[in-house]
Amino acid sequence: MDRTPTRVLWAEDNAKDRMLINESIDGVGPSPQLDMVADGALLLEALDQGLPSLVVLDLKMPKLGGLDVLRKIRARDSWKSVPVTIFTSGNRPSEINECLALGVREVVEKPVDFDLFSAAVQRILHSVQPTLT
Amino acid sequence: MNPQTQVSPVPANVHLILNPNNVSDQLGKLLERLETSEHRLILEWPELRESLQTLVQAEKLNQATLDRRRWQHLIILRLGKEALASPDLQHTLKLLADEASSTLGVEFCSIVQDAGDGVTFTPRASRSTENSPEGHLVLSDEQAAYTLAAATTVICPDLSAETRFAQPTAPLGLQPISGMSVIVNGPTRPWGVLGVHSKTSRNFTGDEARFLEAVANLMALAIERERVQDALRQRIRQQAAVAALGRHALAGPHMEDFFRDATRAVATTLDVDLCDLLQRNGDANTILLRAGIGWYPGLVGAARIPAAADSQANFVLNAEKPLIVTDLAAEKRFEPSELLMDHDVVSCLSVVIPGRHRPFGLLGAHSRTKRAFTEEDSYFLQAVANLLATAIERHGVEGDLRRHRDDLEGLVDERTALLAASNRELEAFSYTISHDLRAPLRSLNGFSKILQRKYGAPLAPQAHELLRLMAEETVRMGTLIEAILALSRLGSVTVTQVPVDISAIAQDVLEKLQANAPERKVSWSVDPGVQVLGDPPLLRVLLENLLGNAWKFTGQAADARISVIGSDDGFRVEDNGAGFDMAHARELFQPFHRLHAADEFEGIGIGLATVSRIVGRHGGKIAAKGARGKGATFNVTLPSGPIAPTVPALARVGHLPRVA
Repeated sequence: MDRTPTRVLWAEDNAKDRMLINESIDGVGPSPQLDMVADGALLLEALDQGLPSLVVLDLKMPKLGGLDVLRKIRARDSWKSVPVTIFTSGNRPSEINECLALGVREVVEKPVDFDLFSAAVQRILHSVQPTLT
Repeated sequence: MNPQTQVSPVPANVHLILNPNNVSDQLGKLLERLETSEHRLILEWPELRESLQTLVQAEKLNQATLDRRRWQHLIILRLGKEALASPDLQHTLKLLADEASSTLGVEFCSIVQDAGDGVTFTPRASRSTENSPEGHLVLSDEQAAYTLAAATTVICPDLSAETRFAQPTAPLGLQPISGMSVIVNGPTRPWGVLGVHSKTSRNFTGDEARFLEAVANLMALAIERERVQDALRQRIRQQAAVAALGRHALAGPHMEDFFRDATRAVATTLDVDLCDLLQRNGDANTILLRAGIGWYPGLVGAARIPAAADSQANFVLNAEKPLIVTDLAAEKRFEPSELLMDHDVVSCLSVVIPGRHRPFGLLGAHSRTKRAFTEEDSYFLQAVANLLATAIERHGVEGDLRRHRDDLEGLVDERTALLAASNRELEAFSYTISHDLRAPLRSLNGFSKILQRKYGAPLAPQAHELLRLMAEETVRMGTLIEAILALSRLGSVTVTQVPVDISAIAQDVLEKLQANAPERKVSWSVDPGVQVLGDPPLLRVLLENLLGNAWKFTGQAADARISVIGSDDGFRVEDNGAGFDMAHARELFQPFHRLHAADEFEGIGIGLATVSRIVGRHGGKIAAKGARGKGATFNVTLPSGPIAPTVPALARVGHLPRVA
């Protein structure tokens, strides 16, 4: 069995948050491959290209929200086994509960403080197990 | 001297001892003995003989009269017993007629009842030894009327020569020669006439007249008894009917059902052909036949009866007592109802159905045969009318109440829906705010730190300090936003009620506080086994705030102490920290109200407001006690039973604390 490089597919609509995520992993050593998309629809398109080791979703996104994306992932046989982590801010308990019910790994609140933020991003990225092929 | 004319003295062996019981017999025997004795020549004395014989005859007659009277008395006694023993009036009348005619030795006996006018009579019983045709009555209306008018016993030895009243012709061979008639009395007026007639010429004696009167009195007694019993039975039936209707009324029936049952009960109980329930309406000139029994099809619920000034309906509505009409066609007080006339109504009884402000309408019982409705009948009808009024009133009141209740329920539903919608909106709003306000803060914080780290080399130390403060302030603002939103969410959150281990939560919170500030030396104690009913997450927030405050305000105390102590209905948190001035105790729980300077103790002034709201949502109370520099005690009491259901007021839900 070969270990392929781990790849994380991350949907984040907020450009500044994408900057902060990139800055979080800048210069902190080896990280999994990170592919970022700006909304849910783009993430689904990316999924069609091949399954990542982990999907990270922001819940509040235009067009297709994180919860809708999660439902679609869980509804398709070829996708539903992919691990999903929610990295979001200010969401309703009902939405978070539904995410947990749909079997996400964890729901991580985006901290305001950048030190905590980058720590959270790194932890998420390093929680990925190499994909078995 | 002729020896035959010689009068000898009365012989010594003739004893003239007369027993007063049987004078005529004894005299007769004496006469016999005189005739056969050697002294029979006495009888040659014609005057004496004649006198004796007259005496004997008279005595015999007297004796017969006495016997007859005694016999009549015995008959009257026996009849009296029998008349009162039989429950069947017709049987009694027939028996009395039989006995009267056989005792008086006449062929005919008849009893007629006054129809009420003293002129027309209804045959009630008759007896004839002759083979007379059906319905043949020897006692004529004329004779009966005359008897009533004369108010005495009428003896008529020769009917063909009668001049006081006309004599109708009788079927051949049934023409009576002599007759006698007596009044049968009633309680207030004569009931009728009893008559006997003979086909042979009779001159009825005073004794015979007395006997017939006695029989008539027995009849009167039996009739009266029957009447009283009838009235009693009728009254019992009426009372039973009223009782049954009353029960029905209490069951809260549909009005149409109740109207139908009431009119049916009236028709059955009063034994009338028609019953009507007339309802007044906005139209002053007509009144609606709302319910009824016995009417031609299509009328009930549709027919409008004139209610104008001279109408029958209007007359009853304005009368103070029930209307009793015996002969509708002859009525002069008002214009008889055409509808009633069309239905061949002869006698009427009508009462008013009262209403709250004005009469609801009328209740009537109508008979196609002539009938004298009694006062008792009117009481019954009025009782039913009153029941109807009560039911109508109650129905109206209950209808009003039902409508009110429906309105209220509708209002509550509406408000609840509004509240739920408002809560949902508020929740959405609050999370959107949280999301949207925190995003720029995150950026500010992140960029300032990145700027410092990646591009900070050329910056002066003061610039670094400013960037650090900038980052710190964004975090503070983020916390503030979360606290405000958490406080506002408390208004709409559902409070559960389960046993909560306060001791365990307090212990955990204090341990975390200690872990976050390992340098602090605080001696804290938590009573074991403190348990309350409440919402676990909310109570944790409460303890985090109370203990967080205690932790914070003991920051400058020499030997900081914090205690969580159980009480009967809750717990209290004590510290020996900065405390507060009791004069400001009330302000403690106001949002953003700080008693200490921000640089003295960190904080955003929302912790105790949150605590207070959580306690309030639990239906509990919180009290603060303290003194400046001498520590503070917060006493929390929570209900031990279910929280009284309070609809969270819209104002409270919709009210967001303003940032001062």
